[in-house]
Amino acid sequence: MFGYKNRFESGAIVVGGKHLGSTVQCVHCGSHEHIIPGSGRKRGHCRYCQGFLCGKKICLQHCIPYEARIEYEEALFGKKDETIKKILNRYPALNKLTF
Amino acid sequence: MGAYKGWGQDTSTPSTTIIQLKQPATALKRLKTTNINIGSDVSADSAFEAVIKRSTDAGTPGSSFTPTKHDPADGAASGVFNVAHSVEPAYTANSELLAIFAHQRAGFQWVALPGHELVIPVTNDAGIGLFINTAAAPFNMGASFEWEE
Repeated sequence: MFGYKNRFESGAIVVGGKHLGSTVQCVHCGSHEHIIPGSGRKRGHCRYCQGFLCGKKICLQHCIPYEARIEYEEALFGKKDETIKKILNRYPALNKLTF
Repeated sequence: MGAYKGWGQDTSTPSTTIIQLKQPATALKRLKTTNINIGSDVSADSAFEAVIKRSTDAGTPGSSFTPTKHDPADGAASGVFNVAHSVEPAYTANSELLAIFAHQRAGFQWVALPGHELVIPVTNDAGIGLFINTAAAPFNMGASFEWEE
């Protein structure tokens, strides 16, 4: 796919038909951020997930992978008590979050 | 897994939703947004700021668009595509997934690389919407989402 230069890129921005930039996805909340080198914006890196963090306080404070958040939401909806218990044991901060 | 597309138009008045993709009431599937397109059919000068945010209900849509299948062999989409809301959907605070700063004259497109799509979990009424934060002068905006499910 065009714009795919390294493993840190997660999305491509095309304006007026020209590829102008790339986005990187936060491994905790799943948001995409447009990285502008030299902007001074402080973000982060999770050493457990080995991935980029968007810089939101909640993402910097707790290591809860994006997939775990989605599975937790789905388990709540499906009332899968065993799965909820299993995910909460692994990521206890998850029940403090809204998604 | 099938790929689908929905599009719609609305005036880009600040604090309005142009389009929304959400889970249906029954037969839910995980929806993965792969492509977002924004443009206008009017040549004028207006910069705008929009965000893709997570929503928790449908609000009151002006209309619903029947999603187009990329592959005619696929079944009908389970995702519900709503357009031009008169009552905005409820959005989750701090749930911005993508910030868009663009201009009316230049079409904006965002493409997710495989594995980095915007995922809508299998939860009743969960969705994402294209929400206008500010627009220098509101104009007729056209937008589309493409997704896999």
